[in-house]
Amino acid sequence: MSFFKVESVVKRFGGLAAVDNVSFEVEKGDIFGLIGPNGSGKTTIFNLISGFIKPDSGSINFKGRRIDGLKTHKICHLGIGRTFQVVKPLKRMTVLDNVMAAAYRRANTKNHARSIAMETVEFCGLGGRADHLSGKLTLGDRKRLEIARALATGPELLLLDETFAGFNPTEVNEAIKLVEKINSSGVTIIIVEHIMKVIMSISGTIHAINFGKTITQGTPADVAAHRGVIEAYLGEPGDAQG
Amino acid sequence: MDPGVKKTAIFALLVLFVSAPLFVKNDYFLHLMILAFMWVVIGSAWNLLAGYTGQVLFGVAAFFGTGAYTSGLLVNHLGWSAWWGLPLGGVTAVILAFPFGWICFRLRGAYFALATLALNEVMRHVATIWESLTDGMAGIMILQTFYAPITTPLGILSSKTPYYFISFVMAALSIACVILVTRSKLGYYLLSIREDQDAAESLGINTRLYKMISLSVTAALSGVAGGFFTNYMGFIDPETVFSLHDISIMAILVGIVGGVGTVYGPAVGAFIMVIVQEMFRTGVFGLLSSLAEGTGSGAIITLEKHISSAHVLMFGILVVLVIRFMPNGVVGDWGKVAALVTPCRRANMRQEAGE
Amino acid sequence: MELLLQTLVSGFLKGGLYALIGIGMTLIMGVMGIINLAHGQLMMVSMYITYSLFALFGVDPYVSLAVSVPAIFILGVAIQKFFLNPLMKIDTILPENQVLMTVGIGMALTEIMRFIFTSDYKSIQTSYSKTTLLMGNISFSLPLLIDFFIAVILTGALFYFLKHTDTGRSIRATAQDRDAAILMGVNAERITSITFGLGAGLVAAAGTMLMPVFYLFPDIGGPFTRKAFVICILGGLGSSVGAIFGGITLGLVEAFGATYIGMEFADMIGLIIFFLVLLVLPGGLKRITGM
Ligand SMILES: Nc1ncnc2c1ncn2[C@@H]1O[C@H](COP(=O)(O)OP(=O)(O)OP(=O)(O)O)[C@@H](O)[C@H]1O
Ligand SMILES: [Mg+2]
Repeated sequence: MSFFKVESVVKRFGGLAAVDNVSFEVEKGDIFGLIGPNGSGKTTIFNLISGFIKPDSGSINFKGRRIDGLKTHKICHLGIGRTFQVVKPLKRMTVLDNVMAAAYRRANTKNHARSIAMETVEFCGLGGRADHLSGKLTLGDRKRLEIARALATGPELLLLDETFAGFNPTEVNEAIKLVEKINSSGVTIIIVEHIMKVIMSISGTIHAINFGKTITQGTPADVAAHRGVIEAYLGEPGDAQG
Repeated sequence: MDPGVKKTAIFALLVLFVSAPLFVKNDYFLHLMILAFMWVVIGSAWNLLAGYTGQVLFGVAAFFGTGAYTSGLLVNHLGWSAWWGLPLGGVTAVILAFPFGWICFRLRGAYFALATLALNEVMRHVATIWESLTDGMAGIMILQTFYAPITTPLGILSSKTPYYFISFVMAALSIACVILVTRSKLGYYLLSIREDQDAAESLGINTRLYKMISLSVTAALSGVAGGFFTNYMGFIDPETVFSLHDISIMAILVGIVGGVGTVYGPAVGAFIMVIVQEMFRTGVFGLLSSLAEGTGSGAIITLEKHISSAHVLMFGILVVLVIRFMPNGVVGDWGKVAALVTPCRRANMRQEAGE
Repeated sequence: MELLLQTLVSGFLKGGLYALIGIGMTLIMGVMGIINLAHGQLMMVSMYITYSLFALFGVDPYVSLAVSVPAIFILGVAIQKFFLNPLMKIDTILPENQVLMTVGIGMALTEIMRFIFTSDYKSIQTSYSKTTLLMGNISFSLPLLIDFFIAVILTGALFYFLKHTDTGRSIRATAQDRDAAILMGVNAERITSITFGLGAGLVAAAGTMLMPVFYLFPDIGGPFTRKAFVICILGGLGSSVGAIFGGITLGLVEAFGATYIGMEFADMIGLIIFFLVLLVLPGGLKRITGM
């Protein structure tokens, strides 16, 4: 039984197959990279996994249980957390309250929720801004908040959707450390990222897609050398750089 | 406001409200206070769903009226005391809210609001058409429990005193209920749903369930207020208790004028709106009519005649003005209000929501 | 059979007017993304303008289109400019405050008209109000027939305007993607004001044209707002072509309801359709017709 498995998943929007027969498996403890040019279907795959949309066919299994078709909140309770590429802060709530709302997933008292939230906020480098309104944060901090919130729900599998887009090099380095720290605390990660340096340096396995279809899967070195991947990116120059 | 000052102020207000009937013997004044307390309940109920959960309710009268009719029907058909209508009115309102919410919470934003508006209308039509049950347009008349002045060791009290205390307790309890909710897990969940439903779902929040819970509490409080209304007024008909203007829009005004998504906003709004409504209904407390009599001025007579018949117009204009200039209400826009009074004071625009 | 055909014909003719009402609402909904709950009330004001012109100066309702439509157009522009646009810049907790604003405006319009004209029923009796044309055994109401043709012409003119003028194209661009349109240099405030004006103008035309065959009192606005909304949803929100289908569908449903179920339940039927449409057909007939 594999930890997490996507099998022959298809999702169409009208005539367009945004995800077309994609399959992959993720081992527990791995950092699994998902790459592809703009519009290739990465976010759609995350939406399928987290239950925002249902696949037209195919299945998704998590810890031996079929999860496609389940409600989003149910999937969160099973242990899958996600961030949003277009950040969704709970704007009129403070950073701490945002994370507390998430922490209540596994806490029943306010004190417990607060202590989980405090810890997570610190862990993600938002300690100094715990009482700021989340709507007023900088983009970088909003992205950190996305991670903190997803983490506070206590996931075993974390989906990170272009969390580093728009970061400067220093921030990127910090963020890489954060992801590695999260991973070493025992959380399996599927990461979508356009910045090749990041994805190449932290992923164990990379799965490349284009137009919703799998191109290849393998180690970072293999994938980087794969002709299909190079063509996909050369087809849209500029995407491969950070 | 500093928490210490706030606590003292609230305590002083409580003492004032509890002791008021001892020295206020004026029926009319007590009547206004009772209405205000009732509106605190409805406003708080509305605020829970609209202000804290972000599901705007255009038709709170559907629940209020259901509670009111529950009370009246218990008397008419079963011969029970109308006071049973308080708890049972809450229950029937929840029974109505359940299927409604279950079906309509798939709608988002303005469409949900419209559905509540439609529910309001449907309930009014049902109460009008189903004559064998409700007596239709004729309405329901019940005997009031308290109608004579009450002699106590502390002196003779107005017959309205019992209603005063009951409505006061209801108001206090509904505010307590909102405070309790906002400080709990439920409160965090409701706010999350208001801010972003997708994000809330991704955090493991069953948005539909929690919206249902919020709607049920709202319906229950509104239903209880309706039950009280029947007891207090002694007469109800579909046009009064299912009124779009006088109940549903009034509730929205109470919420917005006071401050959407704040604990004490609806309470402040209730007092303001009851006074405003009464001012128009009575031609600025009869002042205009005495002026008209005194001066015999034709202009004032016309104004007086129109002002008392135009309170719906005033409601419409008030909705427009409040949304345009004070969308966060007296409590929410306290900075703006304070700046009007003391122009150089630093605007304190702190968000109260979520505290 | 005859009854059936007759019902079909009257429903269809009325549907033409409903289409006009629905297109107006749809335009506003498409561009501003809000439900205009003062739509029927704007129509009611237009009807009072028509009524006054007739009562005071004997102006024929169809002639008074030249007054009522521009007047309500200007009223619509003013509402958007002074009441709705400013709300976009305010951060509030209630996301529905624009819709609520239209509720307030609708209430105010209704009561102002009640102030001026009282709650009494008014109607216009023209020489042709009751004229009917017979085709076989089926009768066509002359005013409704004229209405239908004017509605077709106005709709055609509107589509031409939307397709072939710069302003029209800007309106369509804004409806499709507001942010992108703004980036491309569309003046959103101007476009939204014009759109609201147009939507109001269309419903004003419908109101004026209803006058020869319909009665009028201040509270007539609310039910028509509801109808406009139903038409919009039936037609698929924001689709002008859909609104024509929606309008005709509603016209037919009402005609059949009145003939076969009974007038006294008309209000209830209206509300039930409203609910069903809200729940069952969020994509409207668009989903069925694919248009
Ligand atoms: N809800 C939707 N309805 C219709 N089409 C959609 C929807 N969501 C995504 N698409 C389409 O599916 C395709 C894949 O989109 P997706 O957002 O998954 O790409 P992505 O790989 O995440 O791209 P990016 O790198 O830009 O984030 C795109 O063509 C997009 O337009
Ligand atoms: Mg994406």
